[in-house]
Amino acid sequence: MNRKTIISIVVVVILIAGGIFAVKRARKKDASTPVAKKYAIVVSTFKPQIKPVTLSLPYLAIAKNDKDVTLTSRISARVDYIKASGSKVKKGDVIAKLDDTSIRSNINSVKSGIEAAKVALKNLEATHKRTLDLIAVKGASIEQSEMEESNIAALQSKIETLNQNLSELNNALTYAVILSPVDGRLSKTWVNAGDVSMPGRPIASLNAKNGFYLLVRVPTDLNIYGVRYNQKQYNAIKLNSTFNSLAEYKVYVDATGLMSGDRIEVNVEVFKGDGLMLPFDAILNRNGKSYVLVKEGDKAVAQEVSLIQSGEEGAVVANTQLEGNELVVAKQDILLKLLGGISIQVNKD
Amino acid sequence: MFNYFYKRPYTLYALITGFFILGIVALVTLPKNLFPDANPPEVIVITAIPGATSQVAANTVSKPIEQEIARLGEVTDISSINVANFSIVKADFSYKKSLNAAAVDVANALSIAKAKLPPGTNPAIYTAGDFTLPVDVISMSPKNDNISLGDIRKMADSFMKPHLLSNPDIGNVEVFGGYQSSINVDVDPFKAKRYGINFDLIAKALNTLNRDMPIGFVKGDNSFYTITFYGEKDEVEKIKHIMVLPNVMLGNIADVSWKYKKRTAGYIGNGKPAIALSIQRSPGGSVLDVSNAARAEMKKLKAKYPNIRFEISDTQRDLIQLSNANMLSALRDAILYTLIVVLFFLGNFRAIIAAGLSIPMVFFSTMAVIWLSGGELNIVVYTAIILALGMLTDDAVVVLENVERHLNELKEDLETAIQKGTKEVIAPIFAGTLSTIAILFPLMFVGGFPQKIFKPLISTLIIALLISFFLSITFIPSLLKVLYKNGTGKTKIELWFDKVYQKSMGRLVEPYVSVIKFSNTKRRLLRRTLLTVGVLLILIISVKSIMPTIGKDAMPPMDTGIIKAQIGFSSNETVNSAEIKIEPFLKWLRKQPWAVRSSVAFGTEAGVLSLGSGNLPSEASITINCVDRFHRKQTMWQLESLIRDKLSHMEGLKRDDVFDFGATPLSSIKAPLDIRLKSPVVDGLAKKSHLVEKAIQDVNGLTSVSTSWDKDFTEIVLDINENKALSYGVTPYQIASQIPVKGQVIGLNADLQSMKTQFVRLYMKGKFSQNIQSLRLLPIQTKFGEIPLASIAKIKKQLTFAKIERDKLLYSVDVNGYRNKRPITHITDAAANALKKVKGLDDVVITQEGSIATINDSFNRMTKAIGLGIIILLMALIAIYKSVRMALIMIVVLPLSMIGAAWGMLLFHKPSCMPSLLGILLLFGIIIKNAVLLIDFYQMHRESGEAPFDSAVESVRIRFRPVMMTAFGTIAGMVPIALEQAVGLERLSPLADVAIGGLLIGTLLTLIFVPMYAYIVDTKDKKKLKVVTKEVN
Repeated sequence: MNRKTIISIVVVVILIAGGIFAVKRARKKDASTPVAKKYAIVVSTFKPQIKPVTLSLPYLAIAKNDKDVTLTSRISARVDYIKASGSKVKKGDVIAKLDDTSIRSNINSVKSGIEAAKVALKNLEATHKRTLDLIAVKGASIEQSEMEESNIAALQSKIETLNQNLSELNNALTYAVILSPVDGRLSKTWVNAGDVSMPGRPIASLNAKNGFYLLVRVPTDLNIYGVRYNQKQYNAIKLNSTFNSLAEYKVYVDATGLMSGDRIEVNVEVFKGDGLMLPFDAILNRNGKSYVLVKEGDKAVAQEVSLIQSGEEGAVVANTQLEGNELVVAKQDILLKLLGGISIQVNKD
Repeated sequence: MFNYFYKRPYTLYALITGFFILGIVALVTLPKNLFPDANPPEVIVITAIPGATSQVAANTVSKPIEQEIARLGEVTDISSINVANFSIVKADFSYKKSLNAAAVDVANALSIAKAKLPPGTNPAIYTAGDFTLPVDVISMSPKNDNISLGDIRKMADSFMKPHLLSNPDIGNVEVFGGYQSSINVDVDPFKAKRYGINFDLIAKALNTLNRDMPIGFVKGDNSFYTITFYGEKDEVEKIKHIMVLPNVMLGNIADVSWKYKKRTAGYIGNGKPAIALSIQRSPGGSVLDVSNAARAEMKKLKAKYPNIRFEISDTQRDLIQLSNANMLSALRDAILYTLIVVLFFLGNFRAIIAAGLSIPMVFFSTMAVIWLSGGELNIVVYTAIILALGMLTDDAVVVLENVERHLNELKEDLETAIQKGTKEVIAPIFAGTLSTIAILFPLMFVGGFPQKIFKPLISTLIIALLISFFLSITFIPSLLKVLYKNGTGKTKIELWFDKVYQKSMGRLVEPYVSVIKFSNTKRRLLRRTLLTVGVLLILIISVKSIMPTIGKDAMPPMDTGIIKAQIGFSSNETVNSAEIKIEPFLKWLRKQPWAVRSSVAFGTEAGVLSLGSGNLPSEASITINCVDRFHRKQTMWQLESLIRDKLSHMEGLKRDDVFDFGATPLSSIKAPLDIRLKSPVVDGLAKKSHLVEKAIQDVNGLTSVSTSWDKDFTEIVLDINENKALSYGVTPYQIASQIPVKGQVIGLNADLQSMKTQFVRLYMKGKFSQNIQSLRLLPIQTKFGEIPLASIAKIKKQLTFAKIERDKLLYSVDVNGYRNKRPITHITDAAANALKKVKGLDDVVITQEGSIATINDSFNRMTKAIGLGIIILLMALIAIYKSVRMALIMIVVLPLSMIGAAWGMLLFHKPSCMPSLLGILLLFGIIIKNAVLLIDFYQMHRESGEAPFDSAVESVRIRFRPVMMTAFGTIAGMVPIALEQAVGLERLSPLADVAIGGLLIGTLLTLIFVPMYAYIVDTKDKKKLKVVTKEVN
C-alpha cells in the first residue's frame, strides 16, 4: 500500500471517529438539558401566642332610652298651652297646661260641700251631746241616740269621701300642668293648643338626654362579653329574655346625642380572655374542617385545628400547643397549593 | 432576447437604470416587518354579562355562541375564556378565508345565537391577527400632583384616542389601565324599605336623567344594589336630587359618589403606574409607518399636556429597524465574501467587476419588482436576496469565462467572441435557472404556515434568478465590450491568484480523476458497487443517527431581546395589591444595564385585545425590551433565567413563566408544550391538570410549567336553614335580597331557578375574610322583626373557578411548558412518555396543542413540496436534455447531498426545522446546477465523438473549477446567514447550515458520481465508437 492509500485510510478513520463523537456529544447535551426549577412560594409567617384576646363582630344595635317618656293626660280638658316640639326642656319645666277651670270649680264645690258637711257634723255632734244628756235624765230614747250616732258616722264618712274627692281633684289639678320629669328634648307633641285631651291619650313625647342604652339581640348560642362603642368598652347586661329566640342584652353607654330608635354601629365582643388568636389567612378551610400549615424546614405540614370563636380580628383556636410554632399566612389557594409539598420561603420584609 | 438587446444598448441601459432608480425608491418606501404575517384570521366575540360567574358565562353565553360558530366553514378552532362578568369566544379560520369574510360569517352566526343568549346581553365582534400586536405602547403617568391617573384616563378616552384615530396612518388605538370614572349609587336597603321603595322605582327615576342605560345594573326582582355608570363629578349632585317618590330624593336612600370603577385592570409602564395607549396598525399595514406617525403625534401630545409624562414602554420598531439594518450589512458581507471567492477561483479582476456590477443591479431591480407587486421587506425577503447572490455571480462568470475562451483559445475578435460566446451558454444558463426554479416552485403553493413564511422567499428568489439571467445575457456582454477592449491580458496580481489556486484547489482535480479511473479498472462491477453501496451506507447511517438526535422544531428560537413573562398571584388578590407586590421587581429591573423598557398589564378590559385580554385581575402579562444581542454579554435565555428567579421572590406568586417573544410560531399556540385536557364537564378537570403538571415537571429542557386555570377563587356560600328561615316568615330569596350593606359586597349570585334556593354566593372585596364575620350579625328584616343572619344561615368558604376555558365545544384546561432551546419534538415526546405513567386520566381527552401541531403539519406539507419539486425538476431535465437516463442520473445524486446536510445540522447544533427543509430544497437546486454543468459538457464531448469514459474524465477536469467556484461562492454568500449576523436570522440560519454542509459534501460527491454514472449508463455508440476508432487506427 502506497502513501496515498494510507493517508486516505487515516483520513477516513478520523472522519468516522469524529462523526461518532459528534453524535454522542449532541445526544449527551440533549439529555442533560436542565429541568424546570421548582421555585419556593414566598409567604409570610405568623407566630401565635397565648395572650389576652378580644374578638368582636360588627352589629347594628338599636338605641333606646330608659328615660324616654310619653306624657299622657289623665284628665279630659282643653289644652291651653303646649310647648313647641323640638324645644329643650329641663327637669321640672312646664310642658303643657291644660284647662283646669272645671277642676277648680269642682274643687270649690267639693270644698264648700266639705264645709257644709263639717257644719252639719258640728251641729249633729252638738245635738247628739244634748241627746246624750237627755238620755241620762231619761228625756230621750236610745233609738234616737243611736240614730244620731249613725247620722254622725255617715256624715263623717261623707266628709272623708269629700276629702278624698278633694285630694283627687287636687291631684287631677297637677295633671293640668304637665312638667318634664327629665332633661331632654320634646320630640313630639300629639295635641295642639285648643285640642281636647282625653285620659290615656298621649300629649307629648320626651327623649331624654341621658340614659341611653343599646339593645343588642344575638343568637342564644353566642356569648357576649361586652360592646365596644366609640372606642370605649361597655359591659353588656344580659336580660335573660328572648325576642324571636334571640337573647337580648342591654348596654348602657354614656353617650348623648343619640336618638331613640336609631341604628348604631357597634362591635359586639364575642370572645374575651386568654387565647391563641390566628389571622384568617393562616387558616385553610377544606371539606368542612379547618387546618393550619406549620412551617417545618422549608415545607408546610397541615394540622387540624378546632375553632373556638371567630371575629373580625381573627379566630381563636383551641390548639394551644401551636404556641410558638411558625404558621404560614397566605391566601386560601396558596395554602392549598402548599399542601402538595412545594417548598416555602419566608418573606423577609 | 440576447440579439434584441445587444443591438439596442440605449434601450437596455434605460431599462436597467429605470429599475435601479425604482429599486432605490422601493428600498426606502417599502413597508418593513420582521417576519411575514403568518397568523391565520381570528375573530373574537366579547360579551359582558354583569354579575355572572365564570360558570354561568360558560354555560349561558359561550356555549350557544360556540355551537353556532362551529357550523361555519373553514373554522379551524373554537375556544373561549370565561371569567366573572365576561365571555370571550375566539374563532380561528384557515388561511384561505379572508379576515372580512370571517367577521361577516361570525356576525351572521351571532344573530342566530342571540336568541339563545340571556336577554340583554350584547356580544361585540372584534377581528384579530398579526395587526393586533401593538406597534408602540405609549405609557402616560402623572408628572406631579396636579393630575391623577383618573384624570389621565378621562383625557385618554375623550380626547387623545379620537385624535389619534383621526390620523389616517394609525390603524387602531386602545386605552388600558383601569381608573375609568364612574358614578356609584349605593342603595341602603333598610332606608329603601322604610320608604317602601323597590328597585323598579329607582330605575325609573334614573331614566329621567336621559342618559344611556347604566352599566353594571342588573334589573329584576331582588337583584344587585350597586348601580354604576360612567359620569362626571358634577353630575353627582344632580343625581342625588332625583325624586324617587314625592318628598323622597335618591340621596335620601342611597350614597351617590363619583369614584373610579372597581379596578379589574392596571398598567405599569417603565416601572410607573400609568395609562397605556396601545397603537396598532390596520391589517396589512406597515409597522414603521404607523410607528412614525404615532411618535409624531406623541410629540404633539407632550407639548399639549405638560403635566403628563409620555414614554414608550413597548415597541416593535426597534427590532424591525435593527434587523433590517443588520440584513443590509449581512448582504454587504455576503457580497464581499462571494467576490473574494470569485477572485480566488478565477484570479480575474474583470470577472470581479462584472459580478460586482451585476449584484447591485439584481438587488435593486428585485426591490423594484417587489415594490411594484405590493410586497414588503422582511428577514425572509432579504435572505432570499442573499441566497440569490451566489447563484447570480455564477451566471455572469459563466458568460465571461466562455467569452474569454473564445478570445484566447479560438482567437476570435471581440465582437464575434462576445456574440458567439454568449449564445453558446444561453442554453445551459437558462437550463440551470429553470431547474432551480422548478424545484422551488411547488413550495409557493404548499399551503398553511410554511406557505405564509416561505412564499415571499421563493418568489423573491425566483425574481432575482430571472433578473440575473436576463442581465447575464444582456448587460454582461455589453460590459465585456468595455472590459476586453484592451485584450485579455492579466495583471500580475491576477496571475498570482491563479498560481495560488493551482497550488491549492487545483491539485484536487487529480484525486477526483483517479477515483473515476478507479471505477473503470479491473473488477469494475465490484468497485462500482463498492463505491455506490459505500456512499449509500454512509447516507443511511448519517441520517438515521443524526435525525433523531437533533429533533424537530418549527422555527428555531431567536434572541430578539424581547422577553415576555406571564405571572399570576392568588386569584383572590386585587389589582392594587398585585401592583404593590411587583414594585420591588420593577425597581430592580430599572437598575439592570440590559433592560431598556418594561410594560406590565394586569387584568382585562372590555374591548381591549392588545393588552391583558383574558387575564384575571391578579394575573399580568409583562414585556421587557432588552438591549440587542450584539450589545450585551448575556444571552436572552440567561436573562430569562435571571428574571424568573427574581420574580419568584414575590410573595404569593403562583405562576412564573418567562419566555421569549415569538416562542411559538403562531400566536394562537399558547406555549411550546401545551397538553390540553378536555372534558364535557368542568368538574375534575382542575384536579387532573395538577396530575399532568406534576408528571411533566421533570421533563428535561422545560424552564417552567403552569396550568391555565384552577379551582382557586374563594367564594362565600350561605347555607340557609330553610326551616328556620320560614319559621321567621322569610324565604331564602328574601334573605338574599337584603344582604349587601354599605357597599361591601360586590356581587351576588343565587340559584334563581327555584324559590327554595338554599345556596347563595357572595363575592366580596377588600379585607375579605373579616367581612365574612361581619355578615354573621347582619340584620335581616322579617315579619317578626330583625334577626341576625347567623341565626338562620351558616356561612362557609369554598373554592370555585375564577376562569374557565373551553375548546372545540368541550371544557378544556392547558398544562403549559416553556423552554429555552431544546427541540420541540424531544420535549413533546418526553412529556408524552411521562403522561403514560399517570393514572386517572381515562375520562378526559388529552391532546398536544403546542408547537408540535404546527411542526407536524408544516413538515407534512414541505415534504410533499419537496417530492413534487423533484418530480417537476425531473420532467424539466428530461425535456432539456432529451434523455431520461441523464435526467435520472442528475436527480439520483441529490439525496447524496443529504449526508452533508445532516452533518451540517448536527455540527451547527440546529434541529430539523422548516428553514432546514427549505435549505435542502435549495441545496438540491444548487447541486443540480453543478450536475447540469457536468452533463452539458459531457454531452458536448460525446457529440464531438469522444468515448463515454473519456468524456466523463474531461468533464471533471474542465468543469472542476467552475463547479467548485459555484459551490464555494454560494457557501460564501451564506456565511453571514450561518453566522446569524442579524437579529432574527437565528431562525433562518439552519437553511444556511444545511446548504453549506450539503454543498461541501454534495459537490464532492457530484463530481464523482455524476460523471461515473454518466459513462456507465451511456451504452449507445460505445461499440460504434470502438469500431470507428479501430477503423481510424
